[in-house]
Amino acid sequence: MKDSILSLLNSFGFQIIDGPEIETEEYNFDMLNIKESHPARQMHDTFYVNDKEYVLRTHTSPVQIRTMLENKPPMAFISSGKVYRKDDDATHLPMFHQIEGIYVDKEVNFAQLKDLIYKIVHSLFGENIKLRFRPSYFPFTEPSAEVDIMSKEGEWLEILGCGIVNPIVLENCNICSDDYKGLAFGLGVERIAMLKYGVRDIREFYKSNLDFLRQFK
Amino acid sequence: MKIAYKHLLRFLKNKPSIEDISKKLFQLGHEHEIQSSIFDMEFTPNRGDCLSLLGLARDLNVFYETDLELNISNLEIKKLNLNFTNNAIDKCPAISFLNIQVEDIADNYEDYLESYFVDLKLNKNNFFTDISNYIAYEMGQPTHCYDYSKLGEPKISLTNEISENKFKTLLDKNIELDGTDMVFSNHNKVINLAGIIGGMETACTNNTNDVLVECAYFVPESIIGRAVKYNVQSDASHKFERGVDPTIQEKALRRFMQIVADHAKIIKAEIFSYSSGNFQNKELEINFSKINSILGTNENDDMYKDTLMKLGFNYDKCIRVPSYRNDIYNQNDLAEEFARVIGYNKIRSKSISLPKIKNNKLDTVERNIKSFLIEKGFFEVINFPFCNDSNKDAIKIDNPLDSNREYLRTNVIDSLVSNIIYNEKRQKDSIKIFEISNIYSSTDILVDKKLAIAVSGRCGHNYKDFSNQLDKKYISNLFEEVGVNLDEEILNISKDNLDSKLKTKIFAVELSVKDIQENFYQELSSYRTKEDYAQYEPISEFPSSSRDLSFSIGDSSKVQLAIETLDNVKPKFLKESFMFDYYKNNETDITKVGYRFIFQSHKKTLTDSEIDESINDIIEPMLIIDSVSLPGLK
Repeated sequence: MKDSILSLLNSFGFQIIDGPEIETEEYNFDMLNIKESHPARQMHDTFYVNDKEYVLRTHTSPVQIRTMLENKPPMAFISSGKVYRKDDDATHLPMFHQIEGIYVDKEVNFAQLKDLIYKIVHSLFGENIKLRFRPSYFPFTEPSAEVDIMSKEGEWLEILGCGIVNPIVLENCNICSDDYKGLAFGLGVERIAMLKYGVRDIREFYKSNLDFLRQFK
Repeated sequence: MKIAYKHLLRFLKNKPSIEDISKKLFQLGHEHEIQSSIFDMEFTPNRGDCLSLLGLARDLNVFYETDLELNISNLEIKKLNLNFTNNAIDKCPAISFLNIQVEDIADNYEDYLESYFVDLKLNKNNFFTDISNYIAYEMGQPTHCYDYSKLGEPKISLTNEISENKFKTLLDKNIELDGTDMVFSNHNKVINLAGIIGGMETACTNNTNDVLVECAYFVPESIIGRAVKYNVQSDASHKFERGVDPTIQEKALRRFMQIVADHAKIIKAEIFSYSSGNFQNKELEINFSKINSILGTNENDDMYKDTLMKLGFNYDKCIRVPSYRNDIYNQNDLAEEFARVIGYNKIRSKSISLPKIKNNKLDTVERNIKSFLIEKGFFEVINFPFCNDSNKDAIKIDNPLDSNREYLRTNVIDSLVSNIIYNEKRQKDSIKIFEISNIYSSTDILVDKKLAIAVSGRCGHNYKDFSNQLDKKYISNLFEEVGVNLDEEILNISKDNLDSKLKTKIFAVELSVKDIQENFYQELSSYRTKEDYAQYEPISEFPSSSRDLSFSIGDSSKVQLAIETLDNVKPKFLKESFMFDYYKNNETDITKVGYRFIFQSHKKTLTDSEIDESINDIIEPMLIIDSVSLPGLK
């Protein structure tokens, strides 16, 4: 699933980048405008290691931060991989896979972001899928949106988050926010697979049950 | 947060339907469910200003004509001479106290107050606490009531310094304070965990007629995480964490006084107010073309001006952000306001084309390895990295989920061995799995991407592989195909300390991807695309049962028909079938085929008679075929 999404986004023109799963708070939070007081930074939400020197990354965004610091716009990147949250119940796992994309250029706007999201969702779920955008909140994007698709049962199901990169984040990466704007999106690979193939329990992905794996081989 | 439709209508002049309001709330980004005319709201964490009836009505003002004025006491109130020291001005820059004494409290509440409890199915506490709770619901401003008679001659401090660490909340919960938290103390005794919950010792009761109401603005950062730390459920902390209006503390107390006046005779009222006065409205440049460039819209200035006014922003030489909007800092924040009002779904998408990038190739190394192994019948597994193996290279997690998951694993093989045992217990007799994962070592947080594979049981289920066991040589041959010579690295894993009764051996190997990547040449074309996946079939956790049948076919021209019949038969509960034996006696022209049928139910453990019925459904069509028999069949 992850590979097929990456292939798709790569074909759109996103370059695939990689980065560490053990991160500093600076890259995982500060640079992304996630303030020290943000609940996500609490010990009950994030795994800390080495006496709080590092965190297990809570998203793949720090990979994008590192890449933005090393490059000049225009640039379009996709980061993917394992991310960690201190959750463990029927609907949340302490580790899951995320794919995040960012595109920074002079003329980038929310209307274009919508076009990109339509292309991604239609490629994954077919041209006839109904989708909607809802206002949401992420510290690193403004405006922020969540995207839902309509299930066969007529229910709206959330599939990804997206938005215009918060100018604070661009400035943190030495990109002049007066000249450049960015669009960004992020999705959970397991969630997409669950919606696409009708898997009801996210824990199935990590049980290593051959009966399960055989269906996705 | 629960908000009654009926209560919201008090602010909306045209009395829109609940369905219409619901639609508008979704457009504004306020998710909710409706049950019995109650909105169960889930606000994003940046919208603390909406955590009240007034706040929500204020946001709906962009769609409806509203009356947002509250009935507030305008009486001149004497200054309260309170012995209060604020030692935490940076955390609490605005605070007011109201001392109010009453007599003749009405037996029944006025409709607006009564319906708050009835419609939201809330329990009443006592007169003053009930008003305090209502004010939080109506205005979003928490207040706390102390029974004045229990304060003695009050000498109140807001401080981090405490003389004792035991504190009993008004919900009768004992808390051990660690001395780092901001508290209200009276004569050095803690009476309130500031911004979180008050204390039992000074709590109001039904007999209280003299009350000191405290109403503060706390900087959100000073409150965040404290309710969780002490495991306290607190509506006040929820509101303070998200930010209340720093300019309305006296107004809230005047509203409090008005509600008291609606129900009782006030015989004394005195007020104390402190504000550091640093609450200038934020100012932003007027730049509507920037807004259009962020959204990709072409709205005119009048639309933007009108929206700003309706959302409570002032507009002249610059845009002034209302004091209750602590989430607005820049043009992007304003753009979001406009997008919500226009409607995210109404902003027309515009074609996007990304610039051509220099390096537009996928990293194929990992894919090639996966592709190769999958083609060889392996399954890719993914395991959590947490373990309890505290070897010297293992990175320790400061806040693990539990003591069994205190470290990050330093190898992948251990996880694969667990996966094999798990599948053995589910009657799997041919297991070939692999995992590719980063492994971290504590020395400078070094990372190494590892490929591990593990095998156990039969080589396969077809009749050529059925009797052969997966072993060291199998792995060695596998890697030889791609030019990697392995021998000593392949481990025969001892089952002595494993939870397994089977004698089948486990062989495994773990390698750095960088050491083998050059040799994996398989093309991606063999990798299956997403369209190949069928809709997922849920997995049964009930045990499976297998039956072997060996048919004899006397006429060689009927062998194909017999095999097709066995391959296509679908009796009840059949999960899987395969031919594990095939033998043709050229002298007699008799062919023998052995099939294994595996049965499993999603609902129960199958009985022998249920399986026998299914077996009969397999045998019957076979015996119709000329020259086919089932030796030993009675």
